[in-house]
Amino acid sequence: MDGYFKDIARVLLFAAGAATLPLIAAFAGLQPPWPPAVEYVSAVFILIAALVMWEWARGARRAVRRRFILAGLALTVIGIGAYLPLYSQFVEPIPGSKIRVVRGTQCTPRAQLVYPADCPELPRDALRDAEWEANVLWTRSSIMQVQLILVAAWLAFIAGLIAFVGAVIAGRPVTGKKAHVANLAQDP
Amino acid sequence: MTFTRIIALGAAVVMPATAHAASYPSFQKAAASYVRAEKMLMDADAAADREPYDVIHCLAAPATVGNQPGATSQMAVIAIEAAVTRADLRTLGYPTAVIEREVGHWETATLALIARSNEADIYARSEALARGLETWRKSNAPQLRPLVAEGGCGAGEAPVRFKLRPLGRLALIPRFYFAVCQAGGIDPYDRRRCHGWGEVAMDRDIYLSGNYAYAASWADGRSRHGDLRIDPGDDEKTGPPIILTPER
Repeated sequence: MDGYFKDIARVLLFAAGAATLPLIAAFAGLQPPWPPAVEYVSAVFILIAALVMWEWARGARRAVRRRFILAGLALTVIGIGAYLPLYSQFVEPIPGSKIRVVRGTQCTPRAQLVYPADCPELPRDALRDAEWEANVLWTRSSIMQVQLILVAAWLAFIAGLIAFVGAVIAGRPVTGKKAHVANLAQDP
Repeated sequence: MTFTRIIALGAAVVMPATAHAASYPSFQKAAASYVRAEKMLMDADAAADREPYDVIHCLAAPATVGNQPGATSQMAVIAIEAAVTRADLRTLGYPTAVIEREVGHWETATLALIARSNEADIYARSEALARGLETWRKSNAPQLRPLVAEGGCGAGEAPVRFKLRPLGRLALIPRFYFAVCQAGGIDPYDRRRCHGWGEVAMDRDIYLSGNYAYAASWADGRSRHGDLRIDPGDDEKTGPPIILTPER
């Protein structure tokens, strides 16, 4: 029982450490601009992913754990591999401000009228002309799609990272277990 | 939410000259006659696409009212918002009885808000307005265009003050709306036909972000046109006022 709590404490400690990742990323401005408070969403997601990984991987055989590690690695690479180009293409920081605007993939009829040759890849000045209001230039539904894809790629990256690190850690022996068993043996 | 967008309030808006003492019905009347005068323009805008219709228009009070302090200028904004919403909803096919009931509730609730505080957010009840209309639409006319209350009135705005020397009138339009008029073959400086102009109150903070076209005019007939670029500052402090003088 004691080993169980040490084990879960270790996982929670790991999760808490990992949960600081999105905070660090937020500082670096890397997180998706939507939804609001995405760093807290990410932190909760990390905690859940860490607990799921602990539940699945702690008793698994080494071969199974290695599959988890490889799957986690693949998800991490795919997630960040998708996220960074998408971020670069669709997220536009407002110069001199911390606000980031997400572009869409389909122009509104008015934007189509003004930029018939450029739609939907409008220049940054189009946003500046529209008071940095993406809804004026791109349809709400296309902006929402991009926002969802960005979040999905980001969460895939996070989940992959947690699966990878979690599967590595979950297979290590609990250091306190032997000492605990030894103490029990010495008890009269 | 931000409130930088200033649209559809050209010189044609005739608000009561004694705005400070005016009551809401007089603003309602002035706003309704403005919307009637601009009917074709508002209809075209409302029917422009099949996206959900936003009941928040981010309208600004015209200078004739905007220069008045406190709740009076907010009353003008509420009246204009309500009049535009009524006109657009009629265009979209919503029945008058439903419009009157829901928009009327919104006006009453919002006027009560500003009666309590001059700084109240006049869009605080807009979600309830959209929700009420959506509830009716889903049960009675699902084919009508859906409604939302999102706002989306610009981002990264900075406080800006304008001064005209000598005292005159100034109107701004986001460059995008200016370009929409140009592309549509409308003279972008014709404020009765080009949708998006808004008069600016002098010596008061207004929140802007991006590129604008401006048109300044003076009582002696002189005028000045041009472009402005407003970038977000490092802080929320208002910088020195932008001073405009007539062209020589």
